[in-house]
Amino acid sequence: MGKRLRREARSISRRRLLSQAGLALAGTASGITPAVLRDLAHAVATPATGQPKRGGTLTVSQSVDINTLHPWNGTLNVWKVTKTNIFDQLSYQDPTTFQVKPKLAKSFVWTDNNTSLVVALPSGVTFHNGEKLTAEDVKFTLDSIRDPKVGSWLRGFVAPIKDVQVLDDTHLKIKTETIENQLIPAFTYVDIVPRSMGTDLAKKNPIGSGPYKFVEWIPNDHVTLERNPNYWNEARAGHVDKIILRPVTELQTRISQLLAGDVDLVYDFSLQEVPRLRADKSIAVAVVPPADQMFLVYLNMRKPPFNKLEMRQAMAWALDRQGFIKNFLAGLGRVDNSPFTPQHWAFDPKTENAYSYNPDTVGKLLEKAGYPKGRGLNFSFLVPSGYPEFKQISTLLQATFASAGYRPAIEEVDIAQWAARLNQTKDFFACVDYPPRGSTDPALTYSAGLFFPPVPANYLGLTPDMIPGYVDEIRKGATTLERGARKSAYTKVQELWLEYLPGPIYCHRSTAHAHRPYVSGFVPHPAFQQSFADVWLAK
Amino acid sequence: MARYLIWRAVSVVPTLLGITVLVFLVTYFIPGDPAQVLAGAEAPPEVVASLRHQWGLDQPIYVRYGVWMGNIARGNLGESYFSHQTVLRLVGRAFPVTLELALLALVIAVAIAVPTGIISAVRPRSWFDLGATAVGFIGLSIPGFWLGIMLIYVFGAELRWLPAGGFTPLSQGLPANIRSMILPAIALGTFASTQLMRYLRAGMLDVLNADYIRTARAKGLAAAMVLVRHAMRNALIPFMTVLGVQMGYLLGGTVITESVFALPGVGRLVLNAILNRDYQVAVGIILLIAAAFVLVNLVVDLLYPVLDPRVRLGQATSWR
Repeated sequence: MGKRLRREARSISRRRLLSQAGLALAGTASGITPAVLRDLAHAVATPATGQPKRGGTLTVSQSVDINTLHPWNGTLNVWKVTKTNIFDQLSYQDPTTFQVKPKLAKSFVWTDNNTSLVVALPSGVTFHNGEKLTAEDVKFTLDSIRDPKVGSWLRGFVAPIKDVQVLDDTHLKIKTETIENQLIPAFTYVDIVPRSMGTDLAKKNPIGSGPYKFVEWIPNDHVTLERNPNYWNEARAGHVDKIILRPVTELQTRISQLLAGDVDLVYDFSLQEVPRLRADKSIAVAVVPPADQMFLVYLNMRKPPFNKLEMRQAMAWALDRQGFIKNFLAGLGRVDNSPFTPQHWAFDPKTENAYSYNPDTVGKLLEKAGYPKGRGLNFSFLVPSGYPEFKQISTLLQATFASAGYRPAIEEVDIAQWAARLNQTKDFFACVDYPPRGSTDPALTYSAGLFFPPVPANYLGLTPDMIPGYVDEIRKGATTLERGARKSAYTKVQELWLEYLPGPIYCHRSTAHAHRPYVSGFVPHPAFQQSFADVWLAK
Repeated sequence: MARYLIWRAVSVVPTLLGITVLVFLVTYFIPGDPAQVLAGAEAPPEVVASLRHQWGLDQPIYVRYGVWMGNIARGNLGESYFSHQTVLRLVGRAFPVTLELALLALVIAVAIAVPTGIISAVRPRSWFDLGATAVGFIGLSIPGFWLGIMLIYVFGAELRWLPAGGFTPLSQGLPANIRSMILPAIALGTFASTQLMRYLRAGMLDVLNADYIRTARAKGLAAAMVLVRHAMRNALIPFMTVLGVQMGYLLGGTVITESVFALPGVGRLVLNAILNRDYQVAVGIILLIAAAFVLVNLVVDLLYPVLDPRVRLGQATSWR
């Protein structure tokens, strides 16, 4: 009996073999460490083990509480994890291949000489309140997000939309001026709501059409979701009856709760805990390879010293990225100068060694910028409290500059003040962050957010004329479907970025999750658009 | 007595009014706003401005304060910008958790402090006294969060005797509820017990050296009688004051314990409200905590005359 069990445990299905072989090849090509690959392989392989069972309660521990129930306003990762299960989105990003695929939509087709995107919807979809989901609801959702009064941060994501026309119950036409490649990936963020709910959604319980229904939110205690028994897509329907998401701020408490069996899954925890948890045989660790979140530094180019290219370059040469990854990310990161990693089709290999760690070069660049031995230099790092990695990078940078003659201060403030100074008053010099969207379509990476696109609100003070040809290449990549032309455009964009260097990119980080062995089918999502529909409990 | 009661009750009003002004001003002057927090660092400024307008945050401070005070007069402490639940509902759910935690912690603190403090005072400089003092110093020096994490790790993760954090409401049974509160109450009560023990020891030592105790002993009263009827009763008067203040601190100072043990209490609620700049919740809770603090002290003040006849104000003139 024991022998048979062991043999079964060692046997591998063709699907699993292919997926692991694919991962191994991708990993070799991308330079991902074997440990990361092993965790990813485990995460991918989990769905193939055994027949999924229905029932049970999945208790998930998250690092903070959600702060809204409004689908289009909240930006926290914990809310993305929660709402992805309540709502349907037109598209989704596959968590293993990172490709964007239709979800609620059956298809996307560019028509009218590539000035309209026709979206086909399935029939028979109902919201949790029993209302039928039609193209009118999708139109209502998109129009609401585009309405400035609604105050959705997703407005920029769908900015290319000029009009939304309903063709019939299951078809709608999205009018644009030309092909806009950012739209389909942007739709992964757009939660479809029934138009009867109106736009004042923060004060109401969320009603979606997703595999799980919202039950309650007790602030600082839990969010409860229950399985939607009438989910329209049987292949993506939920397995567990109930999901309880608990906010547990203290990391060691979260880990102890997992070890004690009080929670089933700890979602997103510090990478430095990974080696310890890997050593514990009662815990399974799933690590998403470094791809989506990138560590970088915002440099305020509106004022000295970072209005000078040499100073920005000095910042790029100042970080010992390998040392940071090894000592502070448990080796679970990748040195990069680009928003993309090698497994991304738009990655430009020339960016690979553009900047590395060289304190001597930092000294020379300071001199070239007119600050010999740091004389006359004045800047500081703005760091939000509660984000240790930002402070660690700032401290490493501080040490390099100190060795070159100037020791910048590190100013630690709470997250609310940090965001306000970055966004509203622009009262900062240099600021480390890890923005997302390194794994999605470059059209979205370069069009959304306040880092890459040269919009008036850009953190860096980047304007369209600062980098000649930059905006043109971004538009080229965003408005053609031809892959070769797109790759060429984004190669140029990455090289222009490194030449003018508005904000140095240092590396990508992994994300880590741990669960009890009986939690099956859990595949972590690189951008926190986490579906728990595939998860089932083998106990 | 009635005049004293009324005077003490009325004196609470300007204190609370002052607190409202102070807290409101602090929330106005600290940088950051809830609209930015909700919209996220990536949100364009016009999105943040739109949310600020929706929430009335673009109004001058005196208008916002006036509206808030008007609402308070009607018994409405406002609602959260984020969860859109009323402050009273949020506090109504969180306060019992904090109260239970504070009471259990106080029980643990008193259970440790009273016997230890008395024995230490009765046998000063004995091995027990030295040991209790040393343990007291250690208890004062151990950071609360560290003790909490250690308790969780040992009794939750390793031994699995008690839950490793989290709160079980009373609706799921008293034993389960108490089990979820034992470790946080120990973590919180340990620190309080060391303070109380040292205070009681000092008080008892003073009283035991007083002339009337020597007189009582000289009269031939039993040692236990002297200790209980004469020494303890007098030593407990200042101890009661400290106990009242300690209860106030326990009610308002549970932030770290609640965060470490993931308890949905008032401490964690107010911390999140401050971090998120959820002004209505933060100001409402701080006002309620201040009111509770003031009321506990009022109750302690009112207990003085019961414990010590000299404090009865109505008889003040007859003392001359």
